[in-house]
Amino acid sequence: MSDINGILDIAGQALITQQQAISVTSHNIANVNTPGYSRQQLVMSTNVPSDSEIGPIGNGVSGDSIKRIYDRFLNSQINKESQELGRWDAQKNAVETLEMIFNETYGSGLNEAMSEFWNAWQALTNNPAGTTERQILVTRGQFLASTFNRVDADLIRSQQDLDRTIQGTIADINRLAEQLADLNDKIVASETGTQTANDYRDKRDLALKELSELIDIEAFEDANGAFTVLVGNGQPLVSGTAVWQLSTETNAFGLQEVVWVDDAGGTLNINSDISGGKIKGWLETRDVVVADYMNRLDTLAQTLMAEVNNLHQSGFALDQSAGEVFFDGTGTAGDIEVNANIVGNINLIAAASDPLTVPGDSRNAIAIAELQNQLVMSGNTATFNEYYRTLVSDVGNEVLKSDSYYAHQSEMVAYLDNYRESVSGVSLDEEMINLIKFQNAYAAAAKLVSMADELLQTVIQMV
Amino acid sequence: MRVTNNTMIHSIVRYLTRQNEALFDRQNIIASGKKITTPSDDPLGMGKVLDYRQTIASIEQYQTNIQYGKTRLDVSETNLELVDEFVRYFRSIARTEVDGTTESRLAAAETLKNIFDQILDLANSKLNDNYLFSGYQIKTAPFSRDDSQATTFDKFTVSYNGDTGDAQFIVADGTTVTMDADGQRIFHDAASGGINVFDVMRDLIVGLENDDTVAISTQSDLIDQGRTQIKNVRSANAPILYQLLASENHWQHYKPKIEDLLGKEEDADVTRAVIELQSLELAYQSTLATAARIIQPGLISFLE
Repeated sequence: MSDINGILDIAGQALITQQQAISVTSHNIANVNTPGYSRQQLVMSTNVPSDSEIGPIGNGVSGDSIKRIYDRFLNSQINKESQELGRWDAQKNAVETLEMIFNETYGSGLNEAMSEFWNAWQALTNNPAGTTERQILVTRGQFLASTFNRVDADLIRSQQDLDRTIQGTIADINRLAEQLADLNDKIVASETGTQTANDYRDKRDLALKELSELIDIEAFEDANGAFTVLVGNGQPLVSGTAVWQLSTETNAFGLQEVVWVDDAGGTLNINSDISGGKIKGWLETRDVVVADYMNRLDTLAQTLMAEVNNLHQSGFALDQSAGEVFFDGTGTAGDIEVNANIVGNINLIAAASDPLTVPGDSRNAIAIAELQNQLVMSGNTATFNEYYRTLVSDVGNEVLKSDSYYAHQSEMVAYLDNYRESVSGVSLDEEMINLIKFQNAYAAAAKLVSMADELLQTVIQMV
Repeated sequence: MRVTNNTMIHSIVRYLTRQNEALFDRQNIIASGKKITTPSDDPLGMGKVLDYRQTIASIEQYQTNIQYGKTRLDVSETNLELVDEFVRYFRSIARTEVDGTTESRLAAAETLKNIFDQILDLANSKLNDNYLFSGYQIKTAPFSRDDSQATTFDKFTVSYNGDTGDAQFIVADGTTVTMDADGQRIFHDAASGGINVFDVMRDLIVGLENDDTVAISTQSDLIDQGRTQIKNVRSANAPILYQLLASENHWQHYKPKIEDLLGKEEDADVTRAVIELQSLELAYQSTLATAARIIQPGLISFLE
């Protein structure tokens, strides 16, 4: 069809196609800063040629489809790394908060409280019947006990905070699951043949990435283009348009564990199957890190209480009565306190080692004061203060570890994001060049129309 | 690599964030004067800092204990010195009165009764409301006599109310210094073969009152033995004082060393931090300048 109308047809289609290309370019420019957006390209191809005596003759251009430039493998890699990033991000922030509880930089922590407590016993040995010395000892004992209580309460509060955060995040996961199912639905409905629902796919990839930051998932695409997302030990969260929910249940310690809810409303505990995402970071901090610190603090409080009480009970008070326990409590850091009888009557402090040698005998006070140098912790290899110092160092190390994992992981994700950006990102320079390219092509096609018009005029004038 | 606008913007943001973190760190160091402000700044260093702090607190307590010990030793030494002078006076009266008249002996007896009480007071001396020479019975006056008795002999018979306890002071980890607080061994040691200084003085007074030359002469010799007994106790205090001074000296030299170590571990080198801050500022400013130049222009700026 190599007539003038044919030229008009070619020109007309070229105008439409270049205009489509300009429209795709505009879409790219408009979305230069949209998170998760992948640049798009109009796929142009030549039309089916017409046969002619000189062989097949070209019939111009048309737009086939709009292609989304992306790297499927890269996306799944980003999701994997985002799980690790989310985990360390959460753990880093959580342990940094814990660090504040053990921050001894300006004193007023357990180290100082213990130190002052032992020194108060020494001061008592200088004046075993002294009211001031006894009163100070009781005050220092109370300060030590309340410091134990405070650190323990802070640790419990941090566990509860993490608990609430985990519950909130479960809600976020469920919301993202709904969103994914909705996008699955839209994508399957709007895709036919080679045409893809580019913008919906971008949105879904973004939602998957967000989900990966929260919890480790296994995701794959089926033949229809719908994603199936598995959590825990292969429990489905999203499959096509179907959605399952995650929820929490209270464990023996009163803390929330993550469960998967099946179709019948039954629950399956997937707590220990979670290996990534922020949820993992928080669970790890709550159940391993904080629990460990609490145990060690309890051990310290318990041993200190037992050792002091043991010696104190073998001593004798100013009224010649046998020593009572100095510390009361169930042997945990949470409820250790100075025996209320002693607080009420400082004469009950047992500084003497024999009922007949009161009030001047300070031998029992000396024995208690020297407890601070005894190797009673960690299988008789460390003093109380050494044991606590190791705990503080370990807290610092935990923060350093999480920091460095986080730094490494965020470099990794930044690198992959950069790589993704280099594949899918919009370059304004590039788009401007394309714009000019398509604009010129459009102008040239328009010129074709006017030229064809002139040809027609010429033909008409010939008549 | 295909570099887009966002690639550049993201990397600039990342660099700026990192530089801001470093600036913030230095600022913290300069403001606080400490290089360890959280355990994670240096976990090992933090452990050492806590160790040094505890050591310093312990040393300060040992120094207080030593001071208590020294004061106690000082006070008891001063008292015993005075006791010695009074006892010497007793002896010189005895020597003189061996050749005295009945009248002079009666007068001397009256004087010595007063001095007897002064010695008794010194033997009952207190420090911080605690009796020095009553063993563990620090709230009980160690020596007493009963004025309501009829005869001079009974009035001036002194009983010991303390025990054989001592006073201990912690001067170092696991080390205590023990000081004799047993007044019996000083003044009232007849039970273990020594001299009961009060009995000797009482017998002298009774001897003077009774005009008994033999008794006066006998007691005068016994008083000398009593003085030796008190001197022996005083000289036993010398090694204790030496032990206290040696410990004190040790801590005086040791404490600054630990303080020095603490400083090295926790104090910031502010000069260095300031220099680092300046170089970081320079880097920060050049990143900003670069950012301003890279981000702004695009092809758009050159198209008409």
